Amino acid sequence: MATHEHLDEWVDRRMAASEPPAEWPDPGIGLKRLDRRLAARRPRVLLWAAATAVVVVAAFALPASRAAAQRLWNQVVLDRLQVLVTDYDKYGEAAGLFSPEFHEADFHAVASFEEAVRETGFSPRLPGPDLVSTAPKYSTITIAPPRLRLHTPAIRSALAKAGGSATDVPSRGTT
Amino acid sequence: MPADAAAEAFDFEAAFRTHYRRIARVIVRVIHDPSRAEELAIEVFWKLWRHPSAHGPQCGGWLYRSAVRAGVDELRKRARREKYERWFGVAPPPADPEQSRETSEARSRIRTVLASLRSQDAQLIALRAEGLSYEELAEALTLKPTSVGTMLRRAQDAFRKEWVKRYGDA
Repeated sequence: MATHEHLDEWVDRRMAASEPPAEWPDPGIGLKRLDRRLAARRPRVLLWAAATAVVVVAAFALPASRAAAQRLWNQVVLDRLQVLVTDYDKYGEAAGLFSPEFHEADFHAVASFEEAVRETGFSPRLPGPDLVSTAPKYSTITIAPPRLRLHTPAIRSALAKAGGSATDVPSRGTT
Repeated sequence: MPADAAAEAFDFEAAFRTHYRRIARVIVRVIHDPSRAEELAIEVFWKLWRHPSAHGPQCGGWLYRSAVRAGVDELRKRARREKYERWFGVAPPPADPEQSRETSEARSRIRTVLASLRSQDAQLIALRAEGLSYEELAEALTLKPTSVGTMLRRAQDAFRKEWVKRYGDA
């Protein structure tokens, strides 16, 4: 304990040189400075708000920036519209047991919507012209026969319903 | 009173009048530059004003913690600047003519030693020098009250070792 007190005193003696004058500082002066600091802050906040508003208005008002904003919007909102037709009727009652997975294939550009309709043999329902800002480009795609993804839980369930199991398939049953 | 209600009823000016002098004194003990210490103290209260979560009866601890950190950060910034100035041969600013040479040298030694300590040790030494009790130290530096004594002793020991290494036992 004596050592600790000695250490305490030793440090206190050195730190005594850092003792400021007894009445320093004056809180009244400090409060005025703080008020000035707080008052100076508010116009800066207003200035930032005003500058932001000007930038936003300029972005919407000027044709060049508006076009740039529109392009950005298009990139984000609507990139490409694909219409695929799958004839599930072909797969009969077993349609729920699997789903087709299509391969990526090359797109074939066509000049117009009508040409796309002729080529594919059906007329897709497209969004109205207001949704797409630029003139749409059309292309068609021929899908190779899809790979089938089997839904094993549905198959197990169908087997169980028919009185079978994963290892014991009944000779006849319904799905 | 619930914490939110206490924060709503917080009298900022009263808190300023209660703590400002001690906050500025804690900082000046570390950096030994009264006008800069006042600026930093104002900065600390400005931060308190912007942090409603720190408002309330426990704002003292928050203020001391912020003040001593501001002081130690400033001290380290200055130590770095002085080092670079020495490297590039720039003369240090002239000493304050109002201070006696002896006091000025003693303060310079305190600054140097505090700047070389771990941040928490320097904070403990500075706050203790301003007369904060163990409980106040624990609250200000968010330490366990039971371990403040041990940590303070370690900080003092580190302070003495650094001092003796640089200036002898004078």
